[in-house]
Amino acid sequence: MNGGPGDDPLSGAPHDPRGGRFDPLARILRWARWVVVVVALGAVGLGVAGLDNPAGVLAIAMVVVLVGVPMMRVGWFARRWTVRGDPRFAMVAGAVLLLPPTGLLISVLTG
Amino acid sequence: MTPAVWLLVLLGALTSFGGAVGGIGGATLLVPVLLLTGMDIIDAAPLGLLSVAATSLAAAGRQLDAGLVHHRIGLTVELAASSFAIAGALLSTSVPAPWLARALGLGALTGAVVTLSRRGNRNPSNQTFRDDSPGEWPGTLGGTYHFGDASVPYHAQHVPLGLAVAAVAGAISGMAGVGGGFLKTPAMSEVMHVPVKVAAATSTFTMGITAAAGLLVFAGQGRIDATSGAAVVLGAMGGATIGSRVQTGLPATRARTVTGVLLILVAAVVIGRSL
Repeated sequence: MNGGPGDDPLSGAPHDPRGGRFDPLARILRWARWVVVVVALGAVGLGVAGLDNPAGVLAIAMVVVLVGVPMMRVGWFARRWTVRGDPRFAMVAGAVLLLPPTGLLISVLTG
Repeated sequence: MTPAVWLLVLLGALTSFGGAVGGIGGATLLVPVLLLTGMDIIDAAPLGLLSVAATSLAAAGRQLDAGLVHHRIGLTVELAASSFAIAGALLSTSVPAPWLARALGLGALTGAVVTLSRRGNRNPSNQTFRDDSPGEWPGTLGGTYHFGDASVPYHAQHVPLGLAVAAVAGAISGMAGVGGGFLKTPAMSEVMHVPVKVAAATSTFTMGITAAAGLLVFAGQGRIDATSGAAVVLGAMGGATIGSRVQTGLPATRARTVTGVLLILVAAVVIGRSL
């Protein structure tokens, strides 16, 4: 180890420019996990108490988060790969983003 | 017949724990168990996909930190899987329930045979990559992952065949309400030669997308029950959080054994019930 700028002062490990690159995304995913737990807990509690309408509203919110978070994650990578000059995989991510709304549209149209 | 709420929480937790450890998603285990309780597969499928989405979200942060998810491989595989998952979900109401169950059982059995038939590690560690961050190499379907002090480089092979298997997994997943990880993980690890731990983590990521696509279709069809769905999600979040911790530290050969054994159990239950 040469002790260059940015190296870990305790272990002497070399600075890793790629370390922590997903931190913002990981933070959002952890928050979303807790949101889903709290909302699901509320929906179960209200449902058991026989309050079906509010339970239904919370269940919809839960499904919105469960569907929205993976899509947000794909969008995060589509943007990242576009900015960083990886157009082939940015297009793959963009195509994946189009699939769920397409499925919803088809299911609504076909009843 | 819908089981009691507390039972759904418990089943969601246990099946998601097993699914996260084996990288096959909770629904592959949950849907057969729900069938055993007397629930119809048409009603069990939306609960299965909710459990898949919850498992994927619960494991996401930890697997992202560990550099185990290869997003480029995942999204390439997912493009094939989700297209066919939408078709499968749309067809699910017109295909007889026993046929759906048999398709699920046959898929699980195939995944088990492929997973258990291999011995040893295909991707050896390499000291050249010791100081690399674990993760993917930009612009390619290759990367490295760390296990202990070792660094393991890999590159996806036989991509068209892997995508074909993923498409079949997607179709079964959309029809039967499972994440398709029981076929996607073996497709990535055995067909595309991606290390099993990367395949399992990548599969867990992609299952969230498959579930999102299928859930939107089920929501459009009005097939999501609020209380039952929330109960399954609640259990699945707890089970998958613990399961993903266990999975991250599990040796690759043992991870394969767990996956294979779970799949045999699933196939036995599902095929047995449909006969």
